[in-house]
Amino acid sequence: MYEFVELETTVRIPPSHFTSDVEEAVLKALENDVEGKLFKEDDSGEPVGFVVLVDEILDIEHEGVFPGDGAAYHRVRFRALVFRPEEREVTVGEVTRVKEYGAFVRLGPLDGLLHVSQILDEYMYYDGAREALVGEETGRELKKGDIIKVMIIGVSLNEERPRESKIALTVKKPGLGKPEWWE
Amino acid sequence: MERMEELTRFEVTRILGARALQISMGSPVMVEVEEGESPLEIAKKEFERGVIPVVVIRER
Repeated sequence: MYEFVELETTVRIPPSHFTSDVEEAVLKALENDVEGKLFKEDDSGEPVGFVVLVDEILDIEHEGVFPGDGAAYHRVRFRALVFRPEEREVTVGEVTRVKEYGAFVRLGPLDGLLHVSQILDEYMYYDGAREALVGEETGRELKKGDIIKVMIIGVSLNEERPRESKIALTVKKPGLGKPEWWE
Repeated sequence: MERMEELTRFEVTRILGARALQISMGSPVMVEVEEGESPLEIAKKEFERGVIPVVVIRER
């Protein structure tokens, strides 16, 4: 879920932020670029995860000033606390929104989607007035604010459009779901 | 800036140009500035005084 990871990226410091303490300027620029966002290590496929916090700078390599841009570029190696959802991970979350097609569950910095077909072994209908999904046979319901144990079954992180990232969830395994559903 | 005299004219141009660009983009300045001085004039003044915070790295 949460891991300390060593990452590397290039940081750009505009002249307006020049200061006598280079390390401090680099740290500030790094935090600004990287914290609170999905991080991808230089166009290499899937994002590594969601950076919660920059922990420590390990190394800085000063790259220089390039023609046409007055800014200073630095290559930074750093350790960061990263939120990394993985398939088959079991975690607990709170239901934030319920729609006809499923429920959104807050897993941490990101939300996952629990599709209606992945909740109970029965037809669930959507109660719009109460914003809940209700099982037709058992009457079990899932609504906003419920705490629920889920398993991640699919991860697709979109760096350019984080809102379109998809974390697919299920509760159709023993021990998952709402506590009151367990026998 | 110990070997300023050994800089080629191209390096000098590049340094002055880059420094002037930085100044125009809001960089802190290492010399006192008079009213109406252009970024390039400021860069030249810094260069003459040897206080431009730029190092030329030559790959040979």
